[in-house]
Formats: sequence, C-alpha cells, structure tokens
Amino acid sequence: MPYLTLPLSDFGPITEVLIGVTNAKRSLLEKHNMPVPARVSARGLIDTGASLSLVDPKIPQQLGLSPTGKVSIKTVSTGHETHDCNEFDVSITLLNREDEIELLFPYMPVAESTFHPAEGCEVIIGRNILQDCLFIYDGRARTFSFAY
Amino acid sequence: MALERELEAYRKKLPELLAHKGKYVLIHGESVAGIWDTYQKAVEEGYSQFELSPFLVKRIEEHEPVHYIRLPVQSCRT
Repeated sequence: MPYLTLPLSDFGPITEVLIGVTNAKRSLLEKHNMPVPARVSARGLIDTGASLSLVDPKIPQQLGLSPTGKVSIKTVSTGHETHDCNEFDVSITLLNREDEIELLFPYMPVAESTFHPAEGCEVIIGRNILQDCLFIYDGRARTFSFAY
Repeated sequence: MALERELEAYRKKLPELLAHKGKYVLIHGESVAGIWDTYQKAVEEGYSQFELSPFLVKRIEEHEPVHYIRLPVQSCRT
C-alpha cells in the first residue's frame, strides 16, 4: 500500500493536493478539441471531523467545472441551519514531492465552500476519502502518515 | 439554481428509486438515465451520454444526509 509521511504543520495534517478533472471529463474535452485544464495545486487538511471533502470555489472555477450534485452541509458558522452546496466530480492527488509519491483518487465528489485564510488550507480531505485509507497522526513525532 | 430540474425529478422519483438504496442515480432534465453501483460509473455515463449538458449524480438515500464540517467554512454559491 503506497503511503506518504509528512511533518505536522501548525494547522495540523496538511499536504499538497492536486485537484483535476476526472478522466471522463478529460476524454470529453479532448473529443471536442477543448483545452484540458492543468491540475490545481492547493493545501489540503486531512480532517476526520468532516464527513465529506470540500474545496474552495476558486478551484472548480479554475477547472471550468459545472456542478454534478448538490449536498447539504452544517458547520459551526452555519449554526443550526444547513446550507446547500454545489458538488463537483474531480480527481484528487495527495502529494509528497520530496519522495515523489502521489496517491490518486480518480473520481471523488467534493463540495465547494469558502475557506478563511486563517485556516491555512483550500481543501478539506474528509471521511468520504478517509474511508478507504489508513491515517496515522503521530503527535509526539510531529508527523502524520497517509496510506491508500 | 444549478440542477434544479434534476433535483426536483430526484425528489419526485425517490419512492421508486429507494428500491436501489445506496446506489448512484444519473438524472438529466426530468429523466432517470440509469442507476449504477459506483459514483465513478455514474459520472462516466453522465459525460458519455450528456457530454457538456448538465446532469445530476446522486446517491440514493431515504433521507437527505446532512454533512457536518467542524471548520468554520462559509456558505456556498448554489
């Protein structure tokens, strides 16, 4: 099982992620001689407290994506209210450039939500990804490991 | 709102779709285009059948799930 081990940041277990179009969308764009957008690099927080994965709205905009779903979310900022969010199909790659390790999730649904800069990330890797992974948080060593 | 027709169609057809609970339905306009075991297969079929037209892929659930996020992310565009 390929894995990556990275140092914990002040914001927690954050890794570089690449968000891209799915292969199905890529094939469709190529069929119509349309440009395939490059994958977008972002900081992804691995968050066991999130039941799904989220991306900042600028990411689907950069990829030229249209929503393929809708989900309801509730956060501390929404209080008791739920909010409907657009959902997009994307590919997500977790990256360790130093060790040249890429963990690819080729088809994942992600909801869009605006992140505050103080959160230190633009992507949340939630439990819809973690459900197929091994995640180890080693606080004493100040590292985390992620295997898929 | 994006996918409004598809979401309305999903709500209307949910009683019969529940026979396939846990699978993924593909809806275009007001029509159900198919039901698949995986999210990936439903998305692939969506692009294959409808290309650049809007389509909805949704996991069939008896009750609409609410996803909980601990970080104070802001509400989204819909």
